[in-house]
Amino acid sequence: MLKGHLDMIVLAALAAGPAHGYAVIEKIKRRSNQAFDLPEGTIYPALHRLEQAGLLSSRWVTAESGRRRRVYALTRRGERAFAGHRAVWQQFSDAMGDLLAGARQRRRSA
Amino acid sequence: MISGYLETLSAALNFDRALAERVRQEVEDHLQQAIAADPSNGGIAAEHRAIAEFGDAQAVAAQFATLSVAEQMRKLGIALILVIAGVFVAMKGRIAWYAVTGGDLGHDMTPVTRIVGSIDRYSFWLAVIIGTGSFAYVVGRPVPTLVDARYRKQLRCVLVLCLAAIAPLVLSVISDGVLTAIRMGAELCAWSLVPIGTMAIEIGCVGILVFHFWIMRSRTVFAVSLLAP
Repeated sequence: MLKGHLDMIVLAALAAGPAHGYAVIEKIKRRSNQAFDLPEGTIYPALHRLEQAGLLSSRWVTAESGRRRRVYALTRRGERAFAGHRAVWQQFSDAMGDLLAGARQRRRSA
Repeated sequence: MISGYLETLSAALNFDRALAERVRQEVEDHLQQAIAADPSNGGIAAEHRAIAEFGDAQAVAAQFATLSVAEQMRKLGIALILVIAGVFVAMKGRIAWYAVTGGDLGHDMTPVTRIVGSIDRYSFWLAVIIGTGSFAYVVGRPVPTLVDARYRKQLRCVLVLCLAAIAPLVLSVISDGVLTAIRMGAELCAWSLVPIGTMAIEIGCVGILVFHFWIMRSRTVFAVSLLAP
């Protein structure tokens, strides 16, 4: 199920600001209370794919350790795409919430 | 252990050296951070865990290979349209030059030039039609996460369509070359520079296209082989 929403998850992790791949994975784990423990190797191809699609930009920086690190950031197009994803998800979540609440009420009254 | 893993990963992506190098550096940085953050504070066990959590090198490489193929497919689609436009402009430029310097082309028509001219015209417009169709098919296609059976079929279709556009375009450029040679005859003078120059542009354009096609084909073969059982 997560696979279908991978792009939105990655965009959400980067919505707060630029980050490198490892930090993106950590953010996803932390902000989802460890619920989204994705295979780490799938995040990097997703970052590259989103960059190819023009939703992310990236640049090399040198870390304190001296290693080169690729930092990703949302582009304007990426921000718009994320806002669109979020609106659709919110609508879906509200509708599903109403549906489940209705089912619970019917069970109680029966 | 880390270097072995990185070697496997970059060797699998060797068909796209720039991508292989970038992926290697990114993954190395990731694994080093994962090892540093491991509760055991480094060591073989931490390396094992970091690699296991990252996933199988071949499977990761296959995902990157899919992206590389998709990128090359997009480049090929754009190159196809630009090259057709370039050949058209060069052709029109040469005809305009003939009109300025030597009058109408029609007066020295022989049966041979008429036949070659027809081949040139029809093959060029065939390339335009198929090329435009290929471009529409390629551009805007979403990039899948893996080269699955459906995507493999799409790639085959793109390769066949592009080849079907390139073949008549090559024929058109050859015909242009024949017509230019007939028109110029044996004499070479300053006047010949424009026809020769425009022919060089046409040949260069087609060369670029064939090069992109060749890269696309080899990347597709590699990407598909990474997923082969």
